[in-house]
Amino acid sequence: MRRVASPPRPHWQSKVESAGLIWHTPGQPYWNESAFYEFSAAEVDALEAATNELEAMSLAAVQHIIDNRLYAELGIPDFAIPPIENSWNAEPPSLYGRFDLAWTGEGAPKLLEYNADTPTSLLEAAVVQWYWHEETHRETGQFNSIHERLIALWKEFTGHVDFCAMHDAEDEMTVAYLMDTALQACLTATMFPIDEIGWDGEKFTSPEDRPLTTVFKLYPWEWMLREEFAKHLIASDVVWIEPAWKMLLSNKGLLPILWKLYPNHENLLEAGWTQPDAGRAWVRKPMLGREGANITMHQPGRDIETPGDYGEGTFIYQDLAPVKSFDGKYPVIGSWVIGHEPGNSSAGIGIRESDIPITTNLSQFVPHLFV
Amino acid sequence: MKKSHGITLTVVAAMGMAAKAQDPPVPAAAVTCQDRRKVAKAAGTPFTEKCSGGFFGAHGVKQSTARGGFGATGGGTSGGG
Repeated sequence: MRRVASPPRPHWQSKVESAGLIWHTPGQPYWNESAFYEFSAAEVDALEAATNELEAMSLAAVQHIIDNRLYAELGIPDFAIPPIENSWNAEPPSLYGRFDLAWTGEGAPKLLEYNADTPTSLLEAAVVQWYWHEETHRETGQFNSIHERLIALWKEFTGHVDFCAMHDAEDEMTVAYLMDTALQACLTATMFPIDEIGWDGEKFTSPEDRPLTTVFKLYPWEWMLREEFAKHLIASDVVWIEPAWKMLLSNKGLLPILWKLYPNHENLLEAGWTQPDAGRAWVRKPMLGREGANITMHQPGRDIETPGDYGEGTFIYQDLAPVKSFDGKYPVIGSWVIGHEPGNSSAGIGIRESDIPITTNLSQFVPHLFV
Repeated sequence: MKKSHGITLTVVAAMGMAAKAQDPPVPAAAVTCQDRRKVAKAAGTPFTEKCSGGFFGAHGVKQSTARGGFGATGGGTSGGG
């Protein structure tokens, strides 16, 4: 694994825009093709194996949480339990997730967290870096079958899917991309803002008052649960993608539970609910934090903290992953899973790098290849 | 792991064109309301501007049904992560 400086393509801005990445420079560059990460085929195999292993462990952890009713540990309210358990037992469609992995190219990749509910950077990973690769390094490989895996998974479904998101360019384009993949799988689909979902007294409806049946929502379950329409979730028979049980995985409380279930597993970092002693290097994360907000990275004699809106509430503590700078940058590997086929859900990676060892919503996306 | 075919995205392309049509020529330093919100959030500074619009635009929503019951959390910020 190495970082390679590389000249950006002429007119790269218009090229990534034509692939849908219109937020490539939100004040400061987000897409960065002045470098790429290069892996060996063996390293890609290691990432794929780790991802499949972590997916299996995560699904086992969901079963463990449900069997032992560990909802309070995760801060999940009682009224959310029926949707979680019903969706787990009914096995409605579950599309995708992204493990964030720390790796230096040596030893085993380590799980930082699992965004299983509303992962983004999907378009960049599935499409934009693929176009970059096709144009610049076609003779090499890229660990990326995300697009075709999404279409293949949608083909297992039938009917109509409504796609909902916030009024946000990145979110809107992410659901537009997913809608594209659904249409290519011969489903029918529409798209509208999540605040235009209606409740007519008996059922959730579209902006045109059409009853909703299957809704893909790029909107976190923990947000839905605190909102006015949450009280209708139990009465509704809408199939939500991602399903409610995914909130167990996106919760950072998953990390101590995984460590308890699989102590010393090579792909895990020790994690718990209590602060380790100051002599150790650890990271404190809000249980329901997002985009690197309110993270404290502690090393003896040195703390780094990020700002954010998640400073209140419960935190978990995780050992600091081995840190290595690549040309002064700290990469995190977003490893995508599509579907849940045992041993075969790993579908590709996207890399984001930062000037500090914490990935935030301003970290840059850098393409990759393998040789 | 190498793709054998191209990627064609009709919805994404339409959204991209709509975005371009919505964007008037602006100075290079100018950014959207959503962008300013992201930067403020990352910096931990207050952000009071109310962002609206986006690609979705108006849909002619019927008023006989209760709406707005989802989407209030996060102050209009991204729901992704």
